[in-house]
Amino acid sequence: MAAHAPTHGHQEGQDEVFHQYKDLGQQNESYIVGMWAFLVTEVMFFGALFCMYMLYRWQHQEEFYKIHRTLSIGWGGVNTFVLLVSSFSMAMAVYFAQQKKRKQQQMALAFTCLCAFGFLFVKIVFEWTGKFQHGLLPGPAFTWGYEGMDPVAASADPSVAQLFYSLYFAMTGLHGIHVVVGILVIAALMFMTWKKYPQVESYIPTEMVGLYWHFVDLVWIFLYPLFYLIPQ
Amino acid sequence: MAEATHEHQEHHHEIDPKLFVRTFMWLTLLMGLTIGAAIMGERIAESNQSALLSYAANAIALTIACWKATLVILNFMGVKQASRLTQVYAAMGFIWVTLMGIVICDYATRHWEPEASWEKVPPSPNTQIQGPRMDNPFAVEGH
Repeated sequence: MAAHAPTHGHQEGQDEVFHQYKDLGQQNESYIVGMWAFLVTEVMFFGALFCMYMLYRWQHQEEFYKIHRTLSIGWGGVNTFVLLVSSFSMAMAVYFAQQKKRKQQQMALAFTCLCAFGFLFVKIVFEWTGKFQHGLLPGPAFTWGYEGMDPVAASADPSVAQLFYSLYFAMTGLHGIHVVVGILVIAALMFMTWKKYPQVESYIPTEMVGLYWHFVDLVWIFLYPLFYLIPQ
Repeated sequence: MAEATHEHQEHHHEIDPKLFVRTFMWLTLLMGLTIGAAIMGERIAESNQSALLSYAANAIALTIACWKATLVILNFMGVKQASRLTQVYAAMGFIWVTLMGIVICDYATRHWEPEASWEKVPPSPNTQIQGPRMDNPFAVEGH
């Protein structure tokens, strides 16, 4: 946001309106539209990956079904629920920001951060670690087949399995990076709110962070059924 | 330029928190439905080996995912109460993805050239690999 002094009046408890805007409504709308413009680029980013995934799945439906049995529906479901809860708490944080209830806002943001950490913990510890140990990270060390593996999955073509896991790690990894960035942004917002920075006096920064976080949830809403719930 | 105004204007649409609670409940229910449908679909398909059921299960899972996404966008992200300009921006990205999905069907319906550089993964000594193996994972059967 601009750092220069507004030409519109600014009274205590009211949001500043900068000189290029007609009124507060137009100013707020421009911030939200700007955030959506960024989210549109993110939709294109993930959308292209989803299209690529759909293409390969179309070509190897049977193999993808076999291979996906190595993924845990349970842990994926837990992660989905955790992100839904975090989306709810983020929405509440925006509501409290609109009400200027700082303490409740901070608590809601902290809870969102906690859910985000929980998501990353489940993903890294319960999902990825096992896959790395079983040699499922695509690359020269990729091996298909480990002791105790699902026999249906073991019958899949190893080359297609490497393709599947390339897509899996690329898309969930990119999503994980977005979660990490979301944690950093929420933490920064919490810090600035705690220190009463004037830039976060308005509810708009919280709303913009909220839009980003809901988008992260949106991506997982599609990732989960596409990777974990492939029907036969 | 408009006169400076000192009145506090309500420029945001405050959403009732009860809507957030209802939306969260719906999202959780839909998540359960998705998982339930997937597990049931798998059991039915295992016994019937029906391709139609497989397609139906796919369609149901993606429909529920789209429904959940719509709930998140309209209620959590506040697009329902947002200005028309915001709604247009919100819709743009998803319209683009839909168009790209349609365009990508061109790839899906064409013969794919084999990629010589894709390395074959040897079978692991731990398990006995059974079933058909493809010489080229990018080759389309029947072409």
